[in-house]
Amino acid sequence: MTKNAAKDHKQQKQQSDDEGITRKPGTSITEWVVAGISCLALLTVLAYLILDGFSGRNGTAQIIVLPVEVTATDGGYVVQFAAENRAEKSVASVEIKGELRNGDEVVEESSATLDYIPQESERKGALIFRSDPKAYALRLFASGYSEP
Amino acid sequence: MGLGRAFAGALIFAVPVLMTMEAWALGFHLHPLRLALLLAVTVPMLVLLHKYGGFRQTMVLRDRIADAFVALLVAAVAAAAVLLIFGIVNGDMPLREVVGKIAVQVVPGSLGASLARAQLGPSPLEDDEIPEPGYTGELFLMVVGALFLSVNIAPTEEVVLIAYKMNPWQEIALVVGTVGLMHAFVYELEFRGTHNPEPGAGFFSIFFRYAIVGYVLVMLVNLYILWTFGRTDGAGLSETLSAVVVLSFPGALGAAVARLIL
Repeated sequence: MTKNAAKDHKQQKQQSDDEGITRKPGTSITEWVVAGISCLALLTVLAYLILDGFSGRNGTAQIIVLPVEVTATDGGYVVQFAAENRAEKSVASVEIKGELRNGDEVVEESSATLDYIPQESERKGALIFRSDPKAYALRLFASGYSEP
Repeated sequence: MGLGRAFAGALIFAVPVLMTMEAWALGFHLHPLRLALLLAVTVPMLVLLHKYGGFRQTMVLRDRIADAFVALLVAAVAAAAVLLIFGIVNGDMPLREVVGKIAVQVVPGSLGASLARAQLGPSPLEDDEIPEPGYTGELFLMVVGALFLSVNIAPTEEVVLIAYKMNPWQEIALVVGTVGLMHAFVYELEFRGTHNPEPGAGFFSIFFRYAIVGYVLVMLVNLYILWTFGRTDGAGLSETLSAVVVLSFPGALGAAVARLIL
């Protein structure tokens, strides 16, 4: 960047390693192979989208929340969960609720919000409880969402 | 001294990303290895850009490598200065977060720094001395053009939000429309322009060898960028494809006019 002047002096002498100004006319086999592969790739994408379009998207999301791991920390018991959306529909602002139950009695509640769960995708998060989830029955469920 | 121009270019190219909230957040939740890979890929890209970008053709490889690292450094310094002034980065933050926030900005910034010398300064070569890139070179310039627009837009949440809102038919319309636009741009701007890289090349030849190949390359580049920014983690195939298609709209436009902006 700082050697413009010096370089200009050398310009006449030095051989460049670039291609020349002239291009060979016509198209090489390689170029057509590349074009063919690209064409196939693009058609595959379009075919996938068309199939996706005909498969129809049902209007309700199915959100399954499963606990992944419970970790005891100084700030309470952290229950990591994975929320999976099995439907063909993406949802936003998903409220995930967790309850610790002792029989019919709810001992403690906690909730977290996930920004998005895209269709057929999974998002992770965590709930924090003060009581040990292992001592009670843990229930995790999605309590609501909005359309993105 | 090209440093002043390099700084100007770095700022002009990086300012959209510098002022994007999601890009700051990327700094700390981005996977460090993916960020390292992105920076590692940037170096050879800058070196190649000096070869094809209409710079002095006398530059030897060693100079091009040196220039690439200067561009990276200039971009990092410019990004650090702006983020510091904005208060996005401060001394109380862990080093990892500071490095991450600045590193995200280095890709667009270094592209800008490299291009600034060709764009904002007097051209060191007469027009007819600029080497015409070959087919591979043209494709490479398309990739850089795509990257230039995609890196600005990829961090934003709008990309995934649009992807969620679109149904497959709208996505198909976007793919077809994007390829059509790309072809129109390439055909009209490049092959009808003063620098016709292939005199006598036919409409279909250009469509298949530039528009289609270019679009597929743009999609691959965008898939890589989305993966780097963690947008594909845990997402199903159709959502990933959808986000790629959305991001390929600006990407393809950037690729099609690469010869104009680069």
